[in-house]
Amino acid sequence: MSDSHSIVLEFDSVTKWYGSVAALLDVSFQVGNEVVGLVGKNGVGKSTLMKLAVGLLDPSQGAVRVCGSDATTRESRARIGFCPDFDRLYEPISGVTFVAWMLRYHGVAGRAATERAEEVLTELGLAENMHRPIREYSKGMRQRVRLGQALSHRPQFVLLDEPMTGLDPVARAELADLIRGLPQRGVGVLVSSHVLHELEAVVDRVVLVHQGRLLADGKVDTLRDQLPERPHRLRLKGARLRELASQLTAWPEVDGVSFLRDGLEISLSGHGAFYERFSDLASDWQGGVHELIPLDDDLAAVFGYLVE
Amino acid sequence: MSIAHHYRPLDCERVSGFQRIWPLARQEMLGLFRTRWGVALYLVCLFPALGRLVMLLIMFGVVQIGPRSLQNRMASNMPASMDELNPARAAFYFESVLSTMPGMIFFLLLTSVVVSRCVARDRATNALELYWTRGISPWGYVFGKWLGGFLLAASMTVGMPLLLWISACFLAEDWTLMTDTIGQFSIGLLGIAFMTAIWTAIGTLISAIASSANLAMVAWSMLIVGSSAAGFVVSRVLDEDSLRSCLSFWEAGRVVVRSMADLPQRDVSVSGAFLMLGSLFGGLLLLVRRRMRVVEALR
Repeated sequence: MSDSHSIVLEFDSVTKWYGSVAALLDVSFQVGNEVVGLVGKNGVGKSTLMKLAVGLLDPSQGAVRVCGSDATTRESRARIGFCPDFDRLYEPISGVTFVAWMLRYHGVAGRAATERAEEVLTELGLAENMHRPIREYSKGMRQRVRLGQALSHRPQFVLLDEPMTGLDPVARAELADLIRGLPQRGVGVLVSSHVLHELEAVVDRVVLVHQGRLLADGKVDTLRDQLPERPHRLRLKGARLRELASQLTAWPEVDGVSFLRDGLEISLSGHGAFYERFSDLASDWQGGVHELIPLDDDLAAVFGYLVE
Repeated sequence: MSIAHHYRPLDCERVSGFQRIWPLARQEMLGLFRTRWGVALYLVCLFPALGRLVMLLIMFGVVQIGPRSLQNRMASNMPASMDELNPARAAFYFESVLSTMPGMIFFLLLTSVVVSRCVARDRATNALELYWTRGISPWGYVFGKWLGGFLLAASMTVGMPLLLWISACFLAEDWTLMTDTIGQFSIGLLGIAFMTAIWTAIGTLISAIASSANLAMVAWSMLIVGSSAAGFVVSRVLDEDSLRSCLSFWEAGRVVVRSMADLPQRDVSVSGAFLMLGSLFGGLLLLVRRRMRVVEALR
């Protein structure tokens, strides 16, 4: 949970009904000066949640607040930067013209809007290309323009919808760096993505939504630890695997060991204690231990376990 | 909270509703001129007015084509049935806009690219939410889109007759042409502006209910050309010419303008034309209201 002094977005027991269908049920969470990932399958209420966050929908019950104000007010909208999932911008105009145009809706006058647009696009690494028409931009450059328009009016909270879609690995890494750097600039971030392993690398914590309910809220490793019924699985590669397996099966933290083609798969009940003991064992192991990889500690595995 | 220097709150002024809408209208209006094809299209749409300008230059003897006596006959002794070719009559300046050919065709050409695609294009690219989170209401957004399209279309339908008329006033030997036509011309011009507003509003509303820009363009073209064809065929089959102004979207507008400017017309139903345009506008408005209802929180 975030520090109460830095809460930029707050969902307080929010329920949203579409007729007789509940899109969200009693959802509560907060976003502070941090990057929070919003994870959920299609059709589980993620879009509704995002629309509520940017003030496009009214909650049926509960309240959505941005920096303490109701999310649907103009004051809140001025504090929000929204980066929707759209792939085509206004192709004939330049990136700086587009961002300046969006800024005018916030009451920034012509010349000042252009200067601010140039400033934000320079910060986002688009200084050399911002005066070229958008139709000549790569996907990565377009994403920067999208992010630029969301940040141009200096919001305190930005909501990014699928920002990684369609990007090559280099552009993804660059965008991830940009997103990670926003909290240091005083901007809270809620980011939604289906690319879970990349989302995990960007976020401080995640909010998991499933069938309209908040399934989990926290850091990925904390959430993983809260699933004791799901043993941690590890893949181990090293020398003298049979001897290693026989030793490990005697440990109380180890539930089971199975042989793979070129290694072992270990199931653990208490992985904290296991790592302490294993580091001692591995340092003295004749022939060496080459690899020890967690198989289900990532966001995708946690998400999979939680929605099963 | 620690806010770095770069992200201190931006010094924004409180902006009125119109100040939010105007950038949208301006963008819509100028969007056509940002590509070479768009500029070329607009210039092509000016051909009918340029044709009329050449006629003016010939009739007033600025350009010498044919014997002088012919020019004099053309300018001074035309029968009333040929008012649309006589620069001394207000109808001359409206004909390039109101006629089915070339007026309707060039209007269709311009508006099918600009007006009919405006909202549908933004819906298809998910850009609508971008506007709505900027404090523009859905109706404000539709209004801004319409305003941009209207101003662009009006630059052709209103601007060109006005330029032609001013040119004629200066080309004429004295101010008689101006004093004789100013009343009828002004009302007719107002009528054209009104009809351009209605036509483009209907085009914008079609765009607002269509799921894709291409579908909106096809529906808009079908409405203009299809209703004209249907009006023509039905009026011929039933031998009732007034039906044309009740069935044809374009003809209805033409009848309204000619009626406002008190220009002669036969076998038309002005009330039928108003009814046709009004019901089309009202029906589309209801459909758009339903389509835009998703954004319930915006006030």
